[in-house]
Amino acid sequence: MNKKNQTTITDDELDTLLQQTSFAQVPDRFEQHVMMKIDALPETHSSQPTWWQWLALVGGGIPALMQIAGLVFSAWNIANAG
Amino acid sequence: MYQIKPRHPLMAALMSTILPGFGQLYNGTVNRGLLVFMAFTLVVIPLVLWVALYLPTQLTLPLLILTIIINVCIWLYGIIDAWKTAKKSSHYTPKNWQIPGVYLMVFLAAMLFFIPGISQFIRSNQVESFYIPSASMQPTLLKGDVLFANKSYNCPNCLKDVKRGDIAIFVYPNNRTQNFIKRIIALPGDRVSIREQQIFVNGKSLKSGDTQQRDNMNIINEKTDNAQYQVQWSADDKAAVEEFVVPNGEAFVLGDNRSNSNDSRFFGTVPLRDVVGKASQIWWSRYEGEFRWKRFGLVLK
Repeated sequence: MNKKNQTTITDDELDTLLQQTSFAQVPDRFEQHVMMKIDALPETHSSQPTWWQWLALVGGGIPALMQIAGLVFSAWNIANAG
Repeated sequence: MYQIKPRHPLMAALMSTILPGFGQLYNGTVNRGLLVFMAFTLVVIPLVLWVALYLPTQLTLPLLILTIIINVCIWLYGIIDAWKTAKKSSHYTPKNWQIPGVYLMVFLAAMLFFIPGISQFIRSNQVESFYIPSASMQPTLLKGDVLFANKSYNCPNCLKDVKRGDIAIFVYPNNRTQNFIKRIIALPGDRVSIREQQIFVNGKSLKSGDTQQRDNMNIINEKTDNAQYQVQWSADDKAAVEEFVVPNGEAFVLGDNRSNSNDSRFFGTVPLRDVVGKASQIWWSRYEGEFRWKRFGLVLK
């Protein structure tokens, strides 16, 4: 914001300004009405993961589990020493 | 229109099973997922470093078992936490980054780079297990022993240097895909000779004490400035090696089973740069279906 357009307002001036302004009345139970409208909106539920998500999980899961076990037991991976 | 995608506890738990912290990512609790993953992967390295470098060898096995227990606990915590959080998130609104492509990228990055990298680091630089398939190191190592080798050995920043008497693992000079395990007898510049079942290093015999007889074998105690151990010779073995000087950057190695070992007497000295580890402790010993319980946890000298 340009500093030229900035003015400082005192507390008294602010009080006067607020008294002269007419705010709209908040309707009764406004918040409840808003929440009811939100609840009434159509929801898109994805009830179950799709088959390919399960497939990807299982397909990637087997080598992944081996990798994890490989990390945990890395000191136990045995090589031959003749 | 807004989209509610409930988090599925089974999916979250499975994701955390295959990669710790992955289920938390799916649940949107990213910070907790990162913490679980970091704890799971990094707790191993400091502990193994501690084990390999700073603690007595006797503690290697118990502390390595402790690292496994801690790891499994963190893993299980990740799975249970993912399951519980998902169960509470039946009205979950996914964040804009929670798409299959992001999950796939995170999974691949962890599985292809991070976890294999850490595994390889531990095996190459900290601790690795070796199976003993031959009798060439009898009576110290028996066929069927499995031991830990300290891989933080013989490298510029390693605490342990190669010393005479160490049981070392090295790359076999005639086939670089194989590892061999033998005892370091002499270092660069040492004069070595063998006669009458005795090893002489710089003119001094390694033999200490009397020879014992067992099953047509002579059992001889040897002593270096670093170790004391037993070796065995066939009673009738008269093999001798004329005195020679170990070349620069090389080591002379022998099996403790002196009459039945393919060692520096046959393939020559070994480049020191090929010495990759030092045998430290036996953690498994089984041969022809029989467990040798007394050897479990045996510290090697």
